[in-house]
Amino acid sequence: MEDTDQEDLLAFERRLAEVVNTEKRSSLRWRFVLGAIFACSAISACHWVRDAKESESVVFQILSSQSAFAFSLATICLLIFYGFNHATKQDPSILRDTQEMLSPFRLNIDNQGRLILLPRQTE
Amino acid sequence: MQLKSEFLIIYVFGLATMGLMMGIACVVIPRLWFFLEKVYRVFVEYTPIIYLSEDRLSPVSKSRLSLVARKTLVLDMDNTMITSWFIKRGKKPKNIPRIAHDFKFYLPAYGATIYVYKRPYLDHFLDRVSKWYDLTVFTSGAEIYASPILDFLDRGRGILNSRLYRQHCIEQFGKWSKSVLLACPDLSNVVLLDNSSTECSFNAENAILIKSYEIGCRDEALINLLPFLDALRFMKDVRSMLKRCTRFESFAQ
Repeated sequence: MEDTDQEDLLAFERRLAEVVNTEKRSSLRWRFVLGAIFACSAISACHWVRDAKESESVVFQILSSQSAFAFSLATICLLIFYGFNHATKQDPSILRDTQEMLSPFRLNIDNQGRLILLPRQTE
Repeated sequence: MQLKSEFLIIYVFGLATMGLMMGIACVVIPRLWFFLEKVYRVFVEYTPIIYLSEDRLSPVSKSRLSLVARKTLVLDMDNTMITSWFIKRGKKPKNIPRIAHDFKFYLPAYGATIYVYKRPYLDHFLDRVSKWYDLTVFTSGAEIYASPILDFLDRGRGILNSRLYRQHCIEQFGKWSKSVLLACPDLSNVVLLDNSSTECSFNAENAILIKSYEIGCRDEALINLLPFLDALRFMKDVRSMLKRCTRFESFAQ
């Protein structure tokens, strides 16, 4: 392989690794948000169910008294509407799609975004 | 007798009301469905957090980018960015897609209305790619047909001003081929994105093949290209990567 080619492939690999790692960090943040919101929802849902068993009032009245549950439920709905369910699984999907994109070029990438040169197929 | 005539009036009135309601439903439901489908498409297109929200570059990448020339990305139009559907005047269309079109216009020269369907994520793709590359659209379609479509896709942003049409193509064996030298004389800094290997045959070492867009199919090809195109702009010579493509080996032989 020529020096220029090698230098170019290294530059290509560096940027690809940057992209993959940025996506990983972003996905990790979103997963943390997802976990926190779900935990909050689960705890407040338990309180809400307990209150609902004791009182005979209408669902929405109980919901208004349980502001933590109402807030976490609204937050989840809003986040799903803005597509955070895609963001939590962004890094494996970007890896898979990039691997698919690189396969005709006899290349592959590992989980860190480093290039793997594949041998030419001999028939 | 009085009762019978009253019953008849009520019966006829009821039938007329039902007929009217059904008529209204037949008119409204398809339009409502069309509208909801359009809303859903917008929702699907814009909800996912798709690619790096901002262009964060490390100092190494920044310095590398300052060393290399800005590249030109040559985009094909038909079946790459859009798919169009011709409906001749007075002819009943067959197998028309049951999906809301994005744009339509009448072309007197063809005597047809043209329905244009954008490829999913096209706007997002053009937004991102226009920041990285100089864009040129090279289509084998006639100028009178392609120009209104490109104006619609550009939306006044001025990113698709550089355009090449059928008259700039080279005809060989009854098929059109493109020479990217018309878009950029330096082959180390030009990338051609096309769905047809025949049209790319002159510049196989500068081409990226993308699968043709079929209306209504779940398609993420443009989004999947973004990391690749992002990394490609850091190369001094794009052919270092693109010549490795195995899809053109049949042409070389």
